[in-house]
Amino acid sequence: MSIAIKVSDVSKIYRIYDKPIDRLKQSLNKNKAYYKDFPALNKMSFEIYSGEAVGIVGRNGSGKSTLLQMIAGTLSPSSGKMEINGRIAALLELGSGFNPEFTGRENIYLNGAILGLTTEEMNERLDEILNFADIGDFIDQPVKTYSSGMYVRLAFAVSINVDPDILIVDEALAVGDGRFQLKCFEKIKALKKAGKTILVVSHDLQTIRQICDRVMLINQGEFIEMGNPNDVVNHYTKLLFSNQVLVEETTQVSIIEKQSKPQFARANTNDVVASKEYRYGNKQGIIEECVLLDSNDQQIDSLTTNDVAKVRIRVKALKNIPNPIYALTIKSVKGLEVYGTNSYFQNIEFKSLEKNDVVEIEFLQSMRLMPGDYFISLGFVELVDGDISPLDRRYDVLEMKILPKAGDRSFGIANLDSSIDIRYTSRIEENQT
Amino acid sequence: MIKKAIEYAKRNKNIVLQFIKRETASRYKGSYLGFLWSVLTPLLMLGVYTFVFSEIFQARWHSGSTNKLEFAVIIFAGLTTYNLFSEVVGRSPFLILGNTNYVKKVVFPLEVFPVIAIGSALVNAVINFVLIIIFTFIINHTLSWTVILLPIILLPLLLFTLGLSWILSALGVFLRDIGQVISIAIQALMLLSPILYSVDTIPANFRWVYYLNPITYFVGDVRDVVIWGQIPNLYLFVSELLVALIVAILGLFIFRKTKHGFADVM
Repeated sequence: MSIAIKVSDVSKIYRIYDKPIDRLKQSLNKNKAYYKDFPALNKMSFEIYSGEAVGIVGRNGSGKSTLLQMIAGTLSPSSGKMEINGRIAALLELGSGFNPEFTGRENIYLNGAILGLTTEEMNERLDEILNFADIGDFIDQPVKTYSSGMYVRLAFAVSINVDPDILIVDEALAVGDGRFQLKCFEKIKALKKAGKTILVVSHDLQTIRQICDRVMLINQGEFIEMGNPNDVVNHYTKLLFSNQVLVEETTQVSIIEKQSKPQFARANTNDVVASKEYRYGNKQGIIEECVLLDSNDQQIDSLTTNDVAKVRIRVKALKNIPNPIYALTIKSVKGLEVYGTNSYFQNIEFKSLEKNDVVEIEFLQSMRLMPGDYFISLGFVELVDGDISPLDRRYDVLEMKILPKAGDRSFGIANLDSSIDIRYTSRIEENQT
Repeated sequence: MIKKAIEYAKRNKNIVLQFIKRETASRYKGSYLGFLWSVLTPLLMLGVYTFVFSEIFQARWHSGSTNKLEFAVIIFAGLTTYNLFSEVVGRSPFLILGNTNYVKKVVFPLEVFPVIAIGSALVNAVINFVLIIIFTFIINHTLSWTVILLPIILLPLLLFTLGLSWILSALGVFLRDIGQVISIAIQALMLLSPILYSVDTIPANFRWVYYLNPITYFVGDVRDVVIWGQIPNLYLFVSELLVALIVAILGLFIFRKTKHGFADVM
């Protein structure tokens, strides 16, 4: 696999000056420091291969945009090396590169020119771009009259249709409506198939999990990890909510005796992945045990679609917990959250726990999900001053395989149990004559 | 290195032309008279200058001549030439600053902005030069063949302005005060150049200041070629061209050296 982007020890340090005059003083007197260093990125190193879709997640201020700007070439690293192989089209912000006074059409050509295409090449692509953007007659109006949705449609249409080798999307898509977002993701998938490299920054974790092959986590300018989307997103979620020192565990879960541990085939690769639990929390309360049961209280790991099943957990409080919350989430193997609930969302009254209390909670539901493999995540958290504080979160701790009804080849995620009624209207007419 | 420069110019030709087109179109967009103002504004100012200088100051271009229209055209030629310089230089400190998007969000050949500014100003200037030629014809009843040399004559001015523009636009990003300084300098320079009066009228002991001022030469050349039908001194012209070229290259060098720091500051 060839390398599309190679980042070696790249750092970006901004110099913060108290007054503008200090900047002048600095350029004249190199011996004294009139500035304070602000390290935006610290020695990042990683490789991205062509044909990959890589997501970048991180909190606000972690350095994602800085990194993207450097890859796109609009910002220079303070140190380190960047190697880019291929033409980059970057959507770094709403309407970036668009001149507000120019019409949409003129901006298309302008952006094409910026991306290195000649007028002839742009002429070839013009129809495709206009179709994708779907702006209508406004294309000949100055872009400053556009709504934000039109802006992003045009920007995306241009970036995507100029045949880039590397496409960078930085949170710009959030502005488009659902239909447009769908179009974009279809196009991104098409680009992936064509072997193009995609870099996505988004706070929409569902999207990231679904289209990315790998995900990178950045925190406070540091490269934390890059790997399997589900794992990295879990890690990110933990960082999002952590304000205390957390104990992190990655354990292989042993569930009460059964014949064989189910192996999951990932939906879009041939790899077989053993379920791996991701667990964190301050452990002042713990989920001691969790199990999936059928309607007869027998432990199971597979069931037929629509069957009733129970998820039973036993928690122990290791301190007084005034507002405990018990949570259940079910995710598809691709990371899509198909259902999530908890005692707080369902308005169940809080009953405080005392230290060493043990509680058993049972989630009872019909698993109205289409056949496939699912992960069950459980959470024991508390509400403190309006904020959620995680006591023990066990992600992907239980596996659940849902089997189809015999002979039914329906597909999807939710089992709506449609019954199909076919009426022959021509026969009805015959009867009437 | 020259090959690279030519490649660069070819690649960005489209961008430059598009921008110039847009800037020219939007200059008077929405105003009732539209681009007629390109002509009207200088003519009106010219009228005022001519009146003040010839009636109130009782000034004459050469002692003895009393032709007011000729006086007007001579000043007009000087003004047009100077405006070509001053408009671009005056805008320069803000050229990059006013285009944050192109610095931070896209990979853009920022060097083109001074070129675009000159292109824009040239469009305006050409209209005025046409007027000047027409008036000269009306006054003298003939037109000297030297008028054809005008584009060549303007070359040193354009190169000089380009170089200065590169320097100022780069500096302007880091030192916002430059905008103010340049604004004053341009006004001062106009009065310290032989635009509203001829070099002859300056007392001899001050004349050396004017001979250090590049504008003196640029304006003089234009007048020679368009109004008086004279070819400027070849020796002098070549040295003008050389100096202008050096300024241009120096300007570009400074710009490219500093441009990596733009995004950090804006």
